[in-house]
Order: sequence, then structure tokens, then C-alpha cells
Amino acid sequence: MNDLIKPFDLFDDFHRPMSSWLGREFPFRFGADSDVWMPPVDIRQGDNEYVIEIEVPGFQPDDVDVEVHEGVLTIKGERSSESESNEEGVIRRERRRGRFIRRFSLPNSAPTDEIDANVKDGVLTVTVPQAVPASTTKIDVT
Amino acid sequence: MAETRDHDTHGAWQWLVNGWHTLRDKALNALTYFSPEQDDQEVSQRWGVVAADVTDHKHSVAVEMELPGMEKVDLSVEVIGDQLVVSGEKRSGSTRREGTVVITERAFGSFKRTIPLPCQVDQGGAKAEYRNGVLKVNLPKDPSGQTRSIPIRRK
Repeated sequence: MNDLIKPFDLFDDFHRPMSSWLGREFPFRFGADSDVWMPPVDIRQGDNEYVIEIEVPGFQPDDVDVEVHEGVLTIKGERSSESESNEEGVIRRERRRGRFIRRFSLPNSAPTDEIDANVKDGVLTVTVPQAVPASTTKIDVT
Repeated sequence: MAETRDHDTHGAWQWLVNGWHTLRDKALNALTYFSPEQDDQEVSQRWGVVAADVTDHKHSVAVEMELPGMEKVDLSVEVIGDQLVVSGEKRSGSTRREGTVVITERAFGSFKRTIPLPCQVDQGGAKAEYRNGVLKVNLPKDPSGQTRSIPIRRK
């Protein structure tokens, strides 16, 4: 029903997954199938943490890097098992090769040493705890 | 001079356009509609890219399809004629019910993707496995029906 009154959402629905597949650096650095792509991500804010879920089908834990530098969380990866250079018999090649990368700026207060990451069924889940609000001490003015 | 430059610019532009079309054509095939789960009140993506690779080996056809975050029981793989039909229900799970949405790009719900096969396959010998979010289907070729010859009638 909502689709009927918001026609531009339909374009957005197409555009989002396509540009994710094509990658942000497109069209500046495309060429072979080796360009950088951006897998789709969901982020939710819970009471105590942010939960980031990224779709990385075919990736093993060793293929993925999660790092924090100056308040920026970088999640990147490259399939190690990608040795198939043999293109014989290829009928369809839609799966992205090469590297993926996504970057997110973290709230200043996030305790970065408690970030947790794991891969299951091709979904990488990164949990970023939120800092416990500092207790406020009221100072009486006399 | 200007003409040469124009020509170069045109060449670069053509290169860009061709590259874009190649990429877009590949992504368009993989673009798949996800109809929302019945109890999903949330704004999740309705379209997702379900990317597949198909390789024609000597005795079999191999299909690899990216379906991250699914349960094996929610996947259905069928061979109908000379097409492979993969359908299923990608559930958003209970974790997504908690908290506030910051970014939502993943697609959830039921979907169906049909992949044309290059030849007749032996349906009984087909094998499928789901690992690391990738569905791998191996379809042995049917030796009796590899080429379908269509007689041409003369009038």
C-alpha cells in the first residue's frame, strides 16, 4: 500500500542493492572483476551495544579483518580460497571477486577493546558495546 | 588538437559506459524480489542481489549461489525442465526485533530465483549443500539428452 504513494522508494529499493554490488569506488576504478565492493549491512542500536551484521557469503573468519583506528571501524575482507583462475566452462559469473570494505564512525565513547566479531553462515556480526554513561555528581553551589 | 581530445574523451566515455553496462547487466540478473515476512513490521529492503555462478564442466553443471544467513530447512532446490529453481524464506531472526534500526540494507522474506541450465541434467543425481552462506548445486549431465535436435519440416 505504501509503495503506491511513495513511487520514488521503488527506485531507491533497486538502487541500494545495485550500488552495493557495484561498489562505492565505481565508476572510477572499475575494470576487471577485481574492484572493491560493498556488502549489504544492517545496524541496530540496542540498550547496551550496536550490532552490525554484514552479508559476506563464502567468507571464512580468517578472510575478514575488523579493526578500529581513530574512532573509525573498518571491516574488510578478501576470499583466500579464490584460486580458480580457470575460466573454462564459465556460463555465468555474478558473485563478486576481490576485496570488500565498509567503514563506520564510532561514537567517541565506545570501548573499542570490547568489540566482538564472528562469522556464521556467511553473515559477519560485529558487536560494539556502548560506554556506560558516566555517573553524574551534583555539586552544590554554596 | 581539439578534435583529437574530443576523440579521446569520447573513447574514455565509451569505455566507462561499456563497463557500466557490463556490470549493470550482471547485477540486474541477480536482482531478486523478497516478499516480506508476514509478521515483519519493519522497513527492510525488498530487493536484494542473489548472485550466482554457473560453470559448465565436462560431465556436470555446477551452480553456486550466495544466500547468507539462511537455515538449510528454509531452502528449496528443484530442477524443472532445463531450469534450476532455488526458492526459500530468509528469516530476519529474533535479534532483529531488538533495539532501534540505524541502517537497513539486507533483504528478508521469501524469494525465488530461476537459473537457466545449458543442457539436460540427470535430476536424480543432483546434489546440493549449503555452507558459509553459499548454496552449491552439482547437476550431472544427462548423457541421453545433451543435445536436443529439432527436426525442420519442409513444406
